[in-house]
Order: sequence, then structure tokens, then C-alpha cells
Amino acid sequence: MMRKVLFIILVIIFFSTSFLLQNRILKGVKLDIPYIDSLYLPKGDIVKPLVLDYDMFAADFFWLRTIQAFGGHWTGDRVYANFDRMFDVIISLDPYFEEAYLFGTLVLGDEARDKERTYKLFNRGIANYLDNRLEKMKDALINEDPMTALKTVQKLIDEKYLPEMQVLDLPYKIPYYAGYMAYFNFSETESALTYYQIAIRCKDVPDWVFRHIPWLQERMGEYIIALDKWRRDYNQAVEDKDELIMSVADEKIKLTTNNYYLKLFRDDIKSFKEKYGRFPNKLEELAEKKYLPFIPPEPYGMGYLYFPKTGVVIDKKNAERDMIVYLNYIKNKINAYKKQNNKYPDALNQILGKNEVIDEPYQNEWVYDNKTGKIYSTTAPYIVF
Amino acid sequence: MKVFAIAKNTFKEAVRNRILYLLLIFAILMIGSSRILALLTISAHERVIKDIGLFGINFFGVLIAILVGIGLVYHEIDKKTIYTIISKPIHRYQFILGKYFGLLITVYVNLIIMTLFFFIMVFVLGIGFHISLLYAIIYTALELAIVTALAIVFSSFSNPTMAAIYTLIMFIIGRMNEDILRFAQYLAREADRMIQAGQQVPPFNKFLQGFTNVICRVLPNLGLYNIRAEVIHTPDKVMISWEPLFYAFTYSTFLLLIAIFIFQRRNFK
Repeated sequence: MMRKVLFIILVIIFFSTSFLLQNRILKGVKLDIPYIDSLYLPKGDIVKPLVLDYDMFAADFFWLRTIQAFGGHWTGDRVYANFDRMFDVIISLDPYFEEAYLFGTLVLGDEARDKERTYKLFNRGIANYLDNRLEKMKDALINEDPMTALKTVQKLIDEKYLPEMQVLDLPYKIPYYAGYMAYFNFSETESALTYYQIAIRCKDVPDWVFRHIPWLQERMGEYIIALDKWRRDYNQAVEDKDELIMSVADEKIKLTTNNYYLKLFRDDIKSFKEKYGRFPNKLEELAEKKYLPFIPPEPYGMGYLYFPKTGVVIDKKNAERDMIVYLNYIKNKINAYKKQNNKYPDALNQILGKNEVIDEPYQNEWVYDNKTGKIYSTTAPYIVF
Repeated sequence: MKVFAIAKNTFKEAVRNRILYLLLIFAILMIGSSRILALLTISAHERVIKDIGLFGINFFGVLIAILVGIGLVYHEIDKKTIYTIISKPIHRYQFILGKYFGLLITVYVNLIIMTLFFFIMVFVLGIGFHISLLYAIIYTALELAIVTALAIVFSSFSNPTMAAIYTLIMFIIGRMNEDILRFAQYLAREADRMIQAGQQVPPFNKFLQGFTNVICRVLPNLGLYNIRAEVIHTPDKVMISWEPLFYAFTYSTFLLLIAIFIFQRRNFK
């Protein structure tokens, strides 16, 4: 009996001592908030044999640790130095871990803004899914530096090395996100176009991805190619009786045509100025002097606005939209000034903050009446705020 | 009949082993924890649950086969119970076969328990059940047949500690079989490159090439039974092939023959 009691007493003594000791230790510990954590790993090729075929589980383990590490850095220093190695290990263990590519490039592209590492991860992702029939492309994506690889792939696409059909067993999201990242984060239209051209060859690609190609081509100045593709989309939609796609394609045709005409005008006005030392007095002068065979009609049916003093040409539809946005902004400031000072500002510079300039977007002028507080632009004098 | 009686006794003996329950509890905890771990991931929730489930079943299956199997024959000798068995009209091969099948039944019963728990989790969590998950477990069962045979071989001539080390080493080599083959192919490519460059291939390279080529054919190929990646990524394409099935049968039989050969030559006087 005594022994049992003694034993229990000893257990209680040792447990409470260690508990109090731990309590004392923890009081002195000040952990950095947030917890910044990183994994310092060898290359994926080295890790792979070490996990003894438990590669899927190991990939998940490193995946969860990487997410945790990202969380720490994201709420902390926002430095993502060795994240490419972490993703390298994950995709070496599981080359078909789609989420790892997408999240990886989000970390490296969106957060770290590291173009090379982002493209490298995307390229590796695409290459891992390609079969040996596309060895040239696979080889370029893996072995060449990311930018050169993209040029090689574009060349292969131009040479029809890649099939036109949707045959790739590659999740479209990988090249699609790559294109998105290239265009929106790195402002690289050509790289984006290459990635989108891969995306449209994937088996699971939705229809709407196809429309990114003419959209990008238009931005690259390839208006005719873009128009041709939109027209094909429109015709297909007519055949399929798909009214939504018809209206989208119709709008895109108008937009592309409009941008194309505006570019023609700008180029010809520039050439005209170089030759005659002045801007044309009216747009028709471009046709008269044979710069254009005729003045094309504005696709929205609203006509163009031309300002001979500055040589600026715009379409009325966009001009009106822009004017409304600008005038709204200025008018709000005028009203705020009036509320505060009980009178309208004498001039527009009184309502602007330090270093703030609101230029008329088409190199024309704002006309402001300080008696009535009304404002309009010479671009569209009929829109008065 | 005699083999069955020994197998039955081995099973009864094995289920009394506390290690077995400890491992089973750990396995079930691990499979269960996949739900919690899935909360930590960004998308890929289903994948994490399936991966951890399949890993837990395989890993703890292997541990059970090794840790329970290594002492089976040794304990009979250590406790001198072997004398009562071999003094009866039982052939030594019957004893080894009985031990093997008894252990295999134990391992498979545990495998079934873990699988049931895993499948219940899959259903409860509403993850789409796919027949390929069952295929992955069948392949694990085949792999365990070989690992169990390995444990019996080493248990037939060494003490549990050494048997555990040997079996573990063979398991690791078995899992790295593909890497040995990769090394052999690398050596062959290097030799080709040297020949094309007009250089002479060193004799050591030739020897190593031959050696690695033989080794990866002689040692067990356990990587054959890892279809977990296919089950996750392309479940519709997963099929059970006859080759791994037949290989598990032939290789286990080969190992059992070695165990019988060793055991028959042992002197218990």
C-alpha cells in the first residue's frame, strides 16, 4: 500500500515539476509573429530516390510544408527566395501535380514577380505532360532557358510541328495560366500568345480560351489575323445558333476593326505631317492625297472625331465613354470645393491635389465656367457636366 | 492440412502480438488524419486524402509484415517449441509454409481492416470512389506477399534484430530497383558514347554494367506494385496486369524455397 502511494506521489511530483519548468521556459520564449519558415532542400532528382517509391505521399508532405512556408512569408517578409527549389522537389516527386504548377507560378509570378523562375516552372509543367512524339518541344522546354524555349516553341508552332487539333494530354490550365501570367504580370504579349497557342491544343480546353488568341493578336498589331479568327468564330456561332458567342464575336469584330482603322489613321497622319509639315485639315484629306483609298466608316456607326490642331483622331463611342468618366471625376471635385467654400473654384487647378494633373485625354481642352461650375471638353462639347 | 494447422496457429500467435495492434492503431490514426491534413492544402483535397490513405495502408502493411514476421521462426527456436513440432510427423517445408501463410493471413486481415476504414472515410467525405483505389490495394497485397516471404527467409536463420535489418534493406533495394536499372542504362549510354568517340570502354564499366543488369533482375522489384500515381492522376487508365500478379507468385515461391532450403539444413540438436 505504502509503495503504491509513494509511486503516485513521485508521479505527481515529477509531472508537476516538469509542467512548471515548461511553463517557465515558455514564458521567456518570444516567437516572431508571423512565423517565417522555409525548406532548404536538395534538388528534386536527389530527393526522388530517397523516398522509396512513396513519392505521392512525399509530394503531398512537401506540398503542405510549402503552403505553410508561403503563408509565413506572405504575412511576413514576402521574400520567396528558395520556393523554386521547393516546387522542383514536389514536381520531381509527382510530375503531374497540376495544383503545384498553378500555385507555384502564383507564388513565383504574382508574389515574387520573378519572370524566369515562373516561366521555368510552367515550361517544366508543360514538358512533363508531353509524350515522346513531341520530343523537340519537350527538349526545348526542359533544356533551354525559359525565354529561348518559348521562342523555339513558337517556331515549332509556326512550322506546324504541333498538331492543330486538341490532342495534348496536358491540363489546359497550365499553359493558360502561363499565358495569363505572361500578359498581365510581365506584359509579354508574345510569350502569352505562345502559351495560349499550346493551351488551345489541350484536350480539355474550353471554347472561350480560343478567343484569347485573336485578342492577343490584336494587341500585337496583327489586326487582320485577329479579325479573320473573330469572323470564323462568328460564322461558327451562326452555324451553332449560339447567340451569346455571336454577340461576343460581333462586338470583337467591331472593336478590332475600329482599333485597326485608328492605327491606320494615326500612321497616315504621321506620314502626312512628315511630308507636308502640318496635320491634315480634315480626315478626307488623307484619301485625297492617296494615303488611304477611302475613309473607312466607323464600325459603331457613330463616326470619328478629328482635331486638325493636334492631329488626334478618335472614335466618338470611346471618346464619349472616356469623357463621361473624366468629367464625372472633375465635377465631383468641383462640387466638393463648392460645399466647402460656398463658391465654385476660380480655375481647375484649385481643385487638384499636389502633383495632380488632369489632362484632356485627346490633347484637347477642358472648358470650365467658374460662374455656373459647368465643365465640358472640346473633344465632345455636347457632353456637359 | 498440416500447413493449414500451422498457419492457423501462427495467425493466433500473431494476433496476440501487441506490436500488431500498435501499428494498426497508428495506421488508422494516419488514414484518419488525412482529413485534417486536407484542410491545410490549397485545393487538391481529394488527392491528399487518397494519397495519405494509400500510403498509410502500404507503409503500415510493410511494417506489420516485417515486425511480426521477423520473430516467427526465431521464437519457436528460442522458446524450444520447435522440438515439439519437428518431433511430430511434419516436414520442415510444411512448417515454413505454415508460418508464411499464417503471417500472410495476419497481414491481409490487417490490410482489410485498414482498407475498410479508408473506404468508409472515402464514402463519408464524399470523395468519388473509383475501382482503381481497390487495384492499388490489391497491388499492395501482392507486394506484401513478397515482403512477408523476405521476412520468413531472414527469420529462418537469424535473430529478430538482424532479420529486421536484412528485410528492411531488401525492401529498400526492392523499392530502388528501378534506380539500379537506370544506373545500368546510364552505364550503357556512357559506353556507347565512348565507342562513338573512338575511346575504349574501361573493363570496370563493362563489369559494372553486367553486374547492375543482373542485380536488378535478381533482387525483388517492389516498385512494380506502386500504381498510386496512376490511381490519383489517371484512374480510368489503371488496370491490373498479369505480370505483377505472376511475379509476386513466382518471387514469393522462390524466397520460400530458399527459406525451406536453409531451414532444412538447420541443426536443432
